[in-house]
Amino acid sequence: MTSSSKNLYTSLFSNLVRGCSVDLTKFKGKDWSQLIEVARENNILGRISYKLRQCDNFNELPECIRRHFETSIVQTQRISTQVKAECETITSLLNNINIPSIILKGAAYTNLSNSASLGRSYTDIDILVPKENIDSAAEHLLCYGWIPQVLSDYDEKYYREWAHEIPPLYHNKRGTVMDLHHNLIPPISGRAPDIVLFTKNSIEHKTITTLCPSAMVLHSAVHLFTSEEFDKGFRDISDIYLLIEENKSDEFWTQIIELAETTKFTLELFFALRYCEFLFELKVPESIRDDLNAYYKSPLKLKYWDYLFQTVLVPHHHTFNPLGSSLPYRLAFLRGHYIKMPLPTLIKHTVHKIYVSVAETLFGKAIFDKELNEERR
Amino acid sequence: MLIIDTGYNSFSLTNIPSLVRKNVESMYQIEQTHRFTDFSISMKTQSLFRRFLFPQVSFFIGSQEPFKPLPKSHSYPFLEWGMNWVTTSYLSTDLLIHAAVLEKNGKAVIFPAPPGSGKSTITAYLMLNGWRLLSDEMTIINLKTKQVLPSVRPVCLKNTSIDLVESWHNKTVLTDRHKDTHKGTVAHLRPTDISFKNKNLACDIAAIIFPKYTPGNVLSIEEIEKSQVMVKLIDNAFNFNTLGQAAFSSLKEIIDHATCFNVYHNDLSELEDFLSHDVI
Repeated sequence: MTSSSKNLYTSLFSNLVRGCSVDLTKFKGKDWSQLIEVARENNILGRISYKLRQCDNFNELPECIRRHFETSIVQTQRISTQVKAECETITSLLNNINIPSIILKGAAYTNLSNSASLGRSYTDIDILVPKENIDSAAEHLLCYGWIPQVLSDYDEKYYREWAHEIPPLYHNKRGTVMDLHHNLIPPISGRAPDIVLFTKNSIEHKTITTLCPSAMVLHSAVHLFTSEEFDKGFRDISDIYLLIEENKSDEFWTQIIELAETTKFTLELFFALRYCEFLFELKVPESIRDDLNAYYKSPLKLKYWDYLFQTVLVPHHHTFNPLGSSLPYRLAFLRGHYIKMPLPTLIKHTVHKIYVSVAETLFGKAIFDKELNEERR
Repeated sequence: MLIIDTGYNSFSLTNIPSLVRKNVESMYQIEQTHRFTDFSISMKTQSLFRRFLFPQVSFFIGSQEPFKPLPKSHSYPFLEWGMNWVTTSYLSTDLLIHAAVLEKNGKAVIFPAPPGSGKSTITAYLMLNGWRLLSDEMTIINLKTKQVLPSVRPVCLKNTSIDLVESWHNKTVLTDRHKDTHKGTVAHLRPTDISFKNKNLACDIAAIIFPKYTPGNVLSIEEIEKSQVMVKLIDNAFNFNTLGQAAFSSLKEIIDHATCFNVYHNDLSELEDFLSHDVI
């Protein structure tokens, strides 16, 4: 049962993402309950809602089922309006003090209104600024209500020394969350690229700036295949597929392989294309595929990677592919950490996190809560 | 598995602790058919070790756990609040307003009111005196028809109003009392049969009343500016921003046609009398 449900949702959602028409009459009442739940938990209810609306027979579905998809559409439309307004404000605030900014990831898709933006939901807005400007950018944004999260000394140090971003900023009135980056991947990993290679072809749209399509896709791939958590794995790989489908041209392919080679992210590009082929039947030009295959041809490694990613990148649900608990999830979790930190740092970091969690269990969460401790004084 | 159908939405409940199950069965009309439900909810008690020290319960919608666990003794109110949260988070095709709504003679009266204004006590009183309950917590307005859609769920009574309601009728069906919740002591009251029976019957809106309990006063009524009613309803709405323009124009039309009052009351029978004779 479990593997058949897993295959059912994988093929259903991938067909919808690809824009294939799906026969809705084969789903009975109870099937819809689970379908909606699985889509919601994988963060793709909005995306598939747009696609379902285009299927024959959608309007014949009972109102009580349709309204879940309609809700997701109005909610994501609302988010998209909000995100556009926020990005415009942030960009112009930073322009005022002559700091150039580039909108990354989901917020960029929304501003471009591309196919990955339809029905996309967000938890935060990602902005890239030059490293030398990041502190003055944060200070300036503070004057306009963007408040940094209070962190423990350790976490503060973690961000400052090792990370590619500063701690998240929260807007005091609107509640929006912003991540201010100076690179795409933590410098401690030793893999942070010269950021100019990614930003040099950036594109201006009206008031905001985004990466060019090849850099945008490669960034998405780097982000997904260096992460340790895959709760949005299927959503993220489908983002990549949609972005490639929309932008593929000879020029795009030449640029992306060149960028991957110069910034040493060929493995991440290889993964992105391999699993877009596997899940969405993406057609990759032969020359590109040959180039990448030449780097990664160990059959044992390929087997291992497929074992990991064919589980963590497909839809999860507690009944057929429980998030986090199976071996592929655990291995992918370790892999993500290991890529981002050299082993001695990783050990130090893990020991600290274990210490904090043990201490919190014994003495309560309050012992590391700075705000609470300050109130007490 | 238990299936609850409130008229507006449906829940399938699995893995519910027996104490909660008992309360659910006394508060709702339970269905057992396998069919589409909007949400599937389960509750889990914590690990063995924890169970003896300070037992807690977790609320799940599907695989997701949107809240931190609460003490096991608060399981039933936790379930009710969780069901509210799920509805306002995941259904947004109709306008959802934090307000009670009841019907008499085919006319609905909405009571938007902040906690502590006596809203649930009024709801209980009217319901036990023959009014039909559409909802105690959430007034649901269909933007196209401008009618209220019932969501028949138990009335959440707090603190002293529990004894009060119990003293009116010997037939009231209440849950156990759950002490020391974030709302104090709470107990839920079962909706009347007529409310359950008409759970799919939408209703036109006749009035919007803002009640305020003022001990020691005679009933006094104050007309209220329609623009103010609009602002107050928007403040109490869960999804006004999501629906935007469509919600604004429907609300405007509803308020234009409704009777709107501030009512300062001391005696519930006086209030009921006023509503029955002068409002609807």
